[in-house]
Amino acid sequence: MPSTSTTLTKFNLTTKSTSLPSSPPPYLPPELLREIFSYLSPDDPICDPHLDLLSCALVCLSWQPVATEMIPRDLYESTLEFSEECSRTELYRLGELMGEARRLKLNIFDHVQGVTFDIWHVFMSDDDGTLDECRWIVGAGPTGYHFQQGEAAIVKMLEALSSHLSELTLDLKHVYNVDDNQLLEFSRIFSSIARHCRNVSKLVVKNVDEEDEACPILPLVQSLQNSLRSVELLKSCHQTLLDAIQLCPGIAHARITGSARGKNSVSLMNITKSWKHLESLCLDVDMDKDNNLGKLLQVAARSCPSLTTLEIIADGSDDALDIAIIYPLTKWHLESLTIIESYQITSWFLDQILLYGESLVYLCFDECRELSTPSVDQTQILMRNLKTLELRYCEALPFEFVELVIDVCPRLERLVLSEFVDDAGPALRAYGFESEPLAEEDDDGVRVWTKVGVGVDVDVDVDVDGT
Amino acid sequence: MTTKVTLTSSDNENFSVNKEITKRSILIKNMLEDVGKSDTPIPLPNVNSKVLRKVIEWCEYHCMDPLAPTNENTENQKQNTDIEDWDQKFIEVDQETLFKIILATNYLNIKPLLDIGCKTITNMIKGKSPEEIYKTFNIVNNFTPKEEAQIRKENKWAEDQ
Repeated sequence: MPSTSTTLTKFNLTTKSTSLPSSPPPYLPPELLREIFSYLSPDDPICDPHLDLLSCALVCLSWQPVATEMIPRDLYESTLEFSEECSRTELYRLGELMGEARRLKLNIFDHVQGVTFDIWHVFMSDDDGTLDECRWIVGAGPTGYHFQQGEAAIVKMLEALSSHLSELTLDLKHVYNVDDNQLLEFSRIFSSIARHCRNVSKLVVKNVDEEDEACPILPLVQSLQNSLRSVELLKSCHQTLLDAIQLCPGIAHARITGSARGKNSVSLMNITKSWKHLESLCLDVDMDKDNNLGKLLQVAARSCPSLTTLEIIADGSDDALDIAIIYPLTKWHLESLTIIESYQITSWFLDQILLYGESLVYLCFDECRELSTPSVDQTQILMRNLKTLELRYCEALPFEFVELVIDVCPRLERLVLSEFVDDAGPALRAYGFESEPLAEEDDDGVRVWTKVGVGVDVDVDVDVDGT
Repeated sequence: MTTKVTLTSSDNENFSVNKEITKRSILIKNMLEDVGKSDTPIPLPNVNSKVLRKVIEWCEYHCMDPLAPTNENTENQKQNTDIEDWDQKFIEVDQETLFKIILATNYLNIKPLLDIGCKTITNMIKGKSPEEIYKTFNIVNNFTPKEEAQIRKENKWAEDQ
């Protein structure tokens, strides 16, 4: 006699399957399905991908709407990210369910185009998501990885996303002290993963150990060399990685942050060398004295004729930015220029911007505290097309500069200022600007001024005294 | 001193049951209040004798439980799919009976037993793939190309992104 319901179920199933066509499915009205499914909602709905509910949604037509309705609408974002709570097993299962949804042509995941893998978590954690302590030595780092299981989970997910996958993010936090054998294994895995990334055009790499000799994800980057259009290296200024990225001819957008020393800084300095199609470049890097940010920009100025957007977060470094930036500005029609926290750029630099910045539409000098009054003849100014000017905490710059810009740039429609708020208010209103109500709770003195009635015909000659 | 009530199953079997016990069912409780003192059997056209016998067995065992807790399922209870030992044994039935018990208790409005039935189903679903689920419950997976258009329509939320 069968002792458990499971045995009964199986017995039941076999008897039924012999008498085809099968009996009608047990019918439960939606309110009862909802009652049943309500026990499947995970404990922590925020970090759990609702796998059981998702599974129910893929069972049959009567279950599908009830289960789908109970899954939060914004659970699966356009880029899938997994929390620390999400185990490798769950990752694998989600991949399976996504594949099944795709097979059934359900569009639950159609909008998902990117995925983020925390490499350490995928390969290091135990199947239930906790740290596998026997593979970890305090102070020495990982001693072993679950290579097979980790690869299986990643491949399952990539297969499910298939051609929809255009953005891939790899976070290598905690992956360090990789020995030769591990490197070999990682290299094999990442070259095999590359097969599933044919449509990946954007690659984001985070937290590569900048000190380490080898870079475990290198084979993947090399395989993607011809398809990458956009790259972000966040805290990942690693020489071999930089060299591999440098060889991607199609890069149009790049963002690089981190600290590059020694040979890493040599590679970083030349990163833009073959980026002929580069349109936007954002840099927040700390480099050596010899191979500095200024030199990097000079290389970019020579190599990247399509560069229109440049953003530099200088963090107070004293690299010679000003000369380096003038070249792309005058030569390549820079449209958007952002320099944050540089104490090096001065009134001379500002003069050049005013004289040659004909193509500039957006200009931002946040926290450039040394920036002071320009001394240029107003009739010679070419920077006449500016639409947005942002000057947060530029203490040395007087309000006359803002007035000058308003005077020469008839299309100016947005100002972000932190100084001279009290004095300048009436003057700015006279120019037709209104300050937006502050959205943030903390009033840091920053005000956003927008031109009233933009889009209507803007009167070029604003009569200040008349109002 | 106990008064008895007669319940008639869909297949015309009569069950003479202690009146207090039948009040586990909110449906019968309300019926008895409406009818007042009457000896006429209560017909239960949606419940067959096999299922009714099970349901009465459960009610008799649980006759000492506090009657009909007024609080609806709190979120706390929702997370807990543990079932007490006796109930666990009680609910170990073939699937057809299980589904019928759930439908019957839903109709009779016996919330605690309905919960046990639902939790049992939930426990059979947990951790399973869609294929394992429809094999477990012998459900016909009716996602066919014909229905695709309709699913897409119903499944609009993903497009809101």
